[in-house]
Amino acid sequence: MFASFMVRLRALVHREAAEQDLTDELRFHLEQDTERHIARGMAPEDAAHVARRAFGNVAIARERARDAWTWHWFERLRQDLRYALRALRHSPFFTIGVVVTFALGIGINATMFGVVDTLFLRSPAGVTDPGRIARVYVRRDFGAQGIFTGAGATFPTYLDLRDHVPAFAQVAAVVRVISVELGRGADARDVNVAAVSYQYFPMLGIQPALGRLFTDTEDRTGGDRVAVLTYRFWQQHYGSDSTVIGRALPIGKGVYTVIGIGPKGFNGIDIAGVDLFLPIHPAAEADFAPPEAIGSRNVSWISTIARLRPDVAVETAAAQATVAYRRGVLSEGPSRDSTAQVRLGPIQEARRPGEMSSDAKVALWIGVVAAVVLLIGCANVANLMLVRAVRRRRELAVRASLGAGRGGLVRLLLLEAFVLATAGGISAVILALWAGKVARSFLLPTLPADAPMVEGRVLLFTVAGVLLTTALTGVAPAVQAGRADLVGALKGGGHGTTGQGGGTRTALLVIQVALTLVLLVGAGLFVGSLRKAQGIDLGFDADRVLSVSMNLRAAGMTRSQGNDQYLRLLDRFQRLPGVERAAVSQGTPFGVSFFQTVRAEGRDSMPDLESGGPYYQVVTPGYIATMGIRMLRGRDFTAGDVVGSGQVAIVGATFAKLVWPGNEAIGRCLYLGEDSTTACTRVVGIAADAKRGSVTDAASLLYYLPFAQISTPAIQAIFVRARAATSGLSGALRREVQSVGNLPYATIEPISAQVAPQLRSWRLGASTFTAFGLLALLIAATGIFAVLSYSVSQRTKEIGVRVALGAQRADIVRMVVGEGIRAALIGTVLGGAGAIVLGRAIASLLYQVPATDPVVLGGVVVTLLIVVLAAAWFPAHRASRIAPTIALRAE
Amino acid sequence: MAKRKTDLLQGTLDLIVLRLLQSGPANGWELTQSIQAVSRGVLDVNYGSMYPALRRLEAQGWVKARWSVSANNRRARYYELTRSGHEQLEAERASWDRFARALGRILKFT
Repeated sequence: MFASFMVRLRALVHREAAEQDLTDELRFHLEQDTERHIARGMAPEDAAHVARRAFGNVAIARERARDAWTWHWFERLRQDLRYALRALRHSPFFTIGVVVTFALGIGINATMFGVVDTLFLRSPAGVTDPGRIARVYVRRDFGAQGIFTGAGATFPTYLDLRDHVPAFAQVAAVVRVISVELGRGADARDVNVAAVSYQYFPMLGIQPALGRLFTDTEDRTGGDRVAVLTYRFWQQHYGSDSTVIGRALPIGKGVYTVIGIGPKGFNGIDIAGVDLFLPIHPAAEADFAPPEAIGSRNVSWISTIARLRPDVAVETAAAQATVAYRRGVLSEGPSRDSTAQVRLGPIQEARRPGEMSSDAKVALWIGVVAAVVLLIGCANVANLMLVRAVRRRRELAVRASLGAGRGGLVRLLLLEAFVLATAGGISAVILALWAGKVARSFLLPTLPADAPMVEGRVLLFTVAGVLLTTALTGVAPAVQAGRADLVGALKGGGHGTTGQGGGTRTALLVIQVALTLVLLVGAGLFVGSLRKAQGIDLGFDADRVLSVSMNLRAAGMTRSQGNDQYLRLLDRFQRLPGVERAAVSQGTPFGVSFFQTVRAEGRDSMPDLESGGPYYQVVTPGYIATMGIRMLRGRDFTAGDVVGSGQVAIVGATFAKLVWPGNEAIGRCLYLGEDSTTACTRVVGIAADAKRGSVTDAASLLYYLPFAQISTPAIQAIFVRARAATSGLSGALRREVQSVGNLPYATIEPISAQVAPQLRSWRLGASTFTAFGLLALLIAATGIFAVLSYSVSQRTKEIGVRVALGAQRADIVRMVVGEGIRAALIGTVLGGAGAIVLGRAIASLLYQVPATDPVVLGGVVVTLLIVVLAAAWFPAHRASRIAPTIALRAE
Repeated sequence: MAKRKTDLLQGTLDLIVLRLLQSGPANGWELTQSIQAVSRGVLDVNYGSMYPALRRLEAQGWVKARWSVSANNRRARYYELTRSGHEQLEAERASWDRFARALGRILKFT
């Protein structure tokens, strides 16, 4: 068997040599025969002639000998392939169009598969037997407020799970802290830290690349402050220098000694990579948790992961964990958590039980949309191939009559589809290399940038995509070719009737139109949401304002020391030429909100809003103007508003309207704090409402107090309004921060950077649905154009007869356009139904747009019909130009 | 691809070639001569069948070929039986014997 394989393989690889062998051998035979004839007394010329005649047809002998040694099917495939390539070369527009369609279709699918794979399917690198690792979640039912499932847990809960759940082989506690300061002064940089209990590494099966990992003696109160770097961080920031082991690094408030480097490829088990690991006890003591956190059942600051014992069912483990959890929370008296349930989720954080994050949802949706685009593309290509196959009926019939057989024709057409899909697939991988980078930066912004864009699984997916598209686009034409009436094709002069394949073609057009409509409606809904969200009046002007913040508490400063630093910096900032104005604040938009009991003159209680409050913000004079908040009436704080000058406040518009409806707010008194005897804080100004928690929050009760009159504020940020663009200014601000010396790393960002992520899921939905929808529209338009053009060329004779019988141009145009419109209308009805289903499905991702928005639906239908009309008009116009005499002579 | 009508003949030709090669390596021309001589002219092998048969046997791994020098000092392709060729010959000979005996019995049956 093996020998036989080798002979055939050799014949394939060394075709030339094998051919030469045969030629030589046959020549030898002829020469032997000739020689024998000569030996018997024949003249040499006659001898050669006789020998040749006796030998028979050399070509046939050769052909048959060759058959014996090559794989028959392979040889045929080669021929078919050559034929397919030649045929495709002869119609370059068709070929390029199809390859581009496939490249885009498969490319966006490969890209999206990469994203979905990273989020939902792939296990984090380096983890042993990840299938047995479970993330622990707690599901709490708050009745009317809803059901919440979260990963947050208290430290005692971690101990309960670790010690009282037999189904868990190991349990580890993890707390992720982003933006921790590494180093001091000008060298300071932000790193992502995971503080973990010592079981974390053994549980995941992680071995150090260098040095060692944590021991249980380090993971306890008062334990040594040690750190393990991830391989990537070690490589990128320490140039793989092994002397980093033993070095003391200032991390946050503490100083930690590096004891080991993690294995290559391991960056923790979350999508967002980790730079370094610390043992959870010392890290918590230093600054990663409130001081009382380790022992408290009230502070949720960690999450827990567990490895299940082999052959324990997940349900059993979850039930045991629920028992342990409830017993734990009840050990300190009654708790509303006594009905909570423990849920176990897989190691991929996106596959958490309960509500999916809206980014994950959007990623899944884009994946679905990408698949739909590919389907539309396939329907279109299948249509083009059908048209092509019918146009080539005569050629195919000739091939069939020469003995190609129906099987041969089917094979040929499938092969053509395969060649096109393969070319598309190769282009798709190239596309995905580039698009993957873009897609991930949008969809997985926290993924380390050096993660590969295209790896084995994406390539496998692409191969599957090529096979699928081949099947989807090649089968219909192939089946039709297999059924074709060959004799008719030959006799009919190569022109079929409109009926042939017409049903399939129309059906494919209908599918395209329907799916395109669904995508465009999705695009419309997302664009509407985005526009509504972008149109939200933030109440402040985010364009030219930078915020500068530092973690001074982590750097070991007291509140008043920190405030002094901020005020000193503020002073320096205000003298910079590029700065228009600047102010500091306790409480920031989209950051921390402060609340205290407050009483208003003339009211028993404050209005009860869903958003809570009233909230207050402590600011220096000029904050209102720095943020670009409109001052509606009254005045801003001034340098004269100090202790002893009479306490003042500025209230937001909603505050003024709801607290003193119909009355003047300025001059009224607020009484701050629990103590009813506090002095009057007089309202001196009314400012426009500014968003507080998130851009989509409803207006809330907000008032401002002057920094100089408040005893214990903690400044959180300096806000700086740039004179021109903010781009050049942040560098200047950072130099100021660094020149002060001994300040930690400062985060300097435009406040628009805090707005953008909040609009992200709509922006993503809007841009991808729009891009894919327009692509689908283009594909559908070319499909209609191609099919109608073909139909017209097939019906030349018929149209000629009609014109000869007195049909007007308008009639012909109406006839051809009508064919396209009919398909479009059916597609519109089906697509409309699909769009309603889609709207319901994505309703939770929309903002202030009804899931079945008649305006969007109507607009899309009109657009689509206009495009269909335009695509149909060109072939119709051509049809109307057909002169009957020429058309009738054409046969 | 239409099936060739020479299937049965091909089978026999394979058997014949294998049997002749059992006596030692030979080239294609010698084989055609031997068949004529041994069958006393009864079997005249179509030359066009000999070389496809040899290629087929080679592809099956039953014979192997190498270039060598013929009796009259020409370059010729010589074939010899492989071990699986020997086994194949035994198997085919046995099945041929069975077939011939059965055919004989049928022909004698009256």
